[in-house]
Amino acid sequence: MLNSIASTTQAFPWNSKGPADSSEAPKPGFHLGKKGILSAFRLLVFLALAVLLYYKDQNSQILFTGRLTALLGAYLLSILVMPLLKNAWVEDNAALSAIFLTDILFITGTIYLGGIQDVDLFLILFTTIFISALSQDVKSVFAIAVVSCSLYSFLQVRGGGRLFPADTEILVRFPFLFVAASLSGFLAMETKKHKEDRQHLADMNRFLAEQADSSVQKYVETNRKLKTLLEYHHCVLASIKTGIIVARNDGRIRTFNSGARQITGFVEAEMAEKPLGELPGGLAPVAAALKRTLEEEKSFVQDHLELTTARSETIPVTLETSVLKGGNGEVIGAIATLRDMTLLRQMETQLLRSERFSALGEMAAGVAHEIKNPLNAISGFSRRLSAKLEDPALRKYADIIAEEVRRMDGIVNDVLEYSRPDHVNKAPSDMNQLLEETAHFLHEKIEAAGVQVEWNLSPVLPQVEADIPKVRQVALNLILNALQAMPQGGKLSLKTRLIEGLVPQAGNDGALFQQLFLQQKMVAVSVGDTGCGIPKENISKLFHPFFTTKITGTGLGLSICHKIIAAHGGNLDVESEVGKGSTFTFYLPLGED
Amino acid sequence: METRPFTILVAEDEEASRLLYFEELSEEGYNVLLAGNGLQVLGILEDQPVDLLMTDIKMPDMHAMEMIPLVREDHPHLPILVASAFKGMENDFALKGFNISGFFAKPVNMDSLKATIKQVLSKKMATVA
Repeated sequence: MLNSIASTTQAFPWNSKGPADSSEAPKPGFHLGKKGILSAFRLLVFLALAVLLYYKDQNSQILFTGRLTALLGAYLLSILVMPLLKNAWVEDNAALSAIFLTDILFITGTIYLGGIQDVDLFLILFTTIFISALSQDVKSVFAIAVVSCSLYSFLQVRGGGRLFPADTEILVRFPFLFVAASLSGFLAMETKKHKEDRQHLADMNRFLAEQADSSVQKYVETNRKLKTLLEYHHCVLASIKTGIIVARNDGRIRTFNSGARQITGFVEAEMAEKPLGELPGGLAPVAAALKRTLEEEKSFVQDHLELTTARSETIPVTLETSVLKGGNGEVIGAIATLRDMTLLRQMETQLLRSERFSALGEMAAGVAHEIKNPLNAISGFSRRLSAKLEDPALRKYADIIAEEVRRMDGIVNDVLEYSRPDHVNKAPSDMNQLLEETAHFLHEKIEAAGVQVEWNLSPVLPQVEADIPKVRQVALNLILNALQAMPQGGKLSLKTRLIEGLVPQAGNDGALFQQLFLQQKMVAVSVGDTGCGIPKENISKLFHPFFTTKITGTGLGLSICHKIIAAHGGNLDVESEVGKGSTFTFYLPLGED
Repeated sequence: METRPFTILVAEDEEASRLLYFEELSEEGYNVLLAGNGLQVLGILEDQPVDLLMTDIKMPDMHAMEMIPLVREDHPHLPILVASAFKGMENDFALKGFNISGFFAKPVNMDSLKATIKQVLSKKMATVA
């Protein structure tokens, strides 16, 4: 019977891995489960009683009366229906107690009806008391023990025995029953406690496992988020056009983004981890600003700064520094942002120039008008004088006056042309034809200059909306300039082409112009020479009115050309190299098609 | 047929130019009247018959653009010639519908001025006859 207890214990193996849920269906082959054990015990009790009765019967005394048979049958039935009971029932102490009571009553009833009180049947009550330990409750076990003792006493009394005065043989049996009850109750309690501990441990394990699981998941998720964030930050740094250079507080470069590379021409791989003091000379102002920011923990802005790039170009930049602070507000570095101001400065210059032009134009118009009136009288009277004078020498003087007045008039007309409101009467025009006509008009001059013409006309050039006489004036001006640039002869190249989108173009206004107009389709007309070229310092002044390097010339020609093309919504651009020649190109936008 | 000389009124605020026009046109046999500003022009036109008006555009008291409509009120068919320091303004006058007979840029070419006057006045005589 102690073996049976052991098997009870085994029903809740300590080292079982899964949670020992008692309501769980027993796993076949591993253990019988509470219900199985209970059924087995009850069957054992039944068989023991049945065998005893039979044996007693064989020895003559008693008969299997109807009531006894019915009792045995009912008990057998109650064993047979056991498997049909729900597992939860055998977990319920009240239900278990009812079963145990039934068993005790059955045992008592069988002994009573069978008239076998004298047999040591009380031993069977031990079975019941032990089995009642299944309830795992000391109180229940004691209650069963008390009931068993009472009924046993009843049997003894009914069977002719005496309790009082005590029949020692019988009385001595009671303590055994209670010892058995205590022992099995204690073991049951221990089992229960261990089971609970184990359950608790299993719960704890499961909880920890879940925690660990979710921790790992969280770690993976956090890692992923962190990676995404890092990538995002990297992309932001890489995509931004502003140059960002970050120095740690140990004075070494931590970040040098692609914006910084584009502006300065230096590459990140070479700049990373470099101490500020070892940055290339061109970046010295940046290094100094970062150093100062780290030392003084203050931000600085430098607006009109010039940097020398890796390409040895000097570019205007705006440099701004900020203190880089960590999470706790401590200084962990300094950030320098660089903005390339080349385009902005160009725009400013152009704007300034056009403002200056219009102011100048207004003034020029006023002055021209004031000059024209006296010229009118001088011109008229000098011619009158020439007509009236009889002395040829004097007449020659008068003619010189008249001729000089005519020249003055020409200059004033140029000024007026420049300052006049830009009326252009546009009509669809073929730039190839215009260029050919203009060259033809000048062919004598071209031949006289010993210049060869190289034609490069686009065969698919669309028509542009243009004021033909005005654009012809531009072409004429450009070709005449080209011829004058080649006094020893050379090659005049005349070229037209269609521009769709951005075309890299060096030169003064090219970059800015293309930035502003790159979405437009344009016709480009170029006039190139193989002359002396234009020094870099003069290129920016080319389109200024009155700027000239020629001995004779008003300096208005190119500025008027510029203005005419601008009035068409286009631009006049120049590319030039000293000693190699210059190419002037005007761009005219195509109308909407 | 009575041969009365044509009367030409010249409006010009510059004295030197005024003298030039007077001498050149008088020499051609025209009766030349001179005005230094717009109001004088309107006064003379009111007082006596004029066959042709030759005017500067910019005068101290008014612009030719303002003056011509006033002249046209009483003299819708008077031939008017305009001289200006600004080239290209003939278009503006033509657009205004002022019925200008000729436009001259300063410095005025006297030969072409005289030729135009002669042509305009011969037409006028024809219409009178």
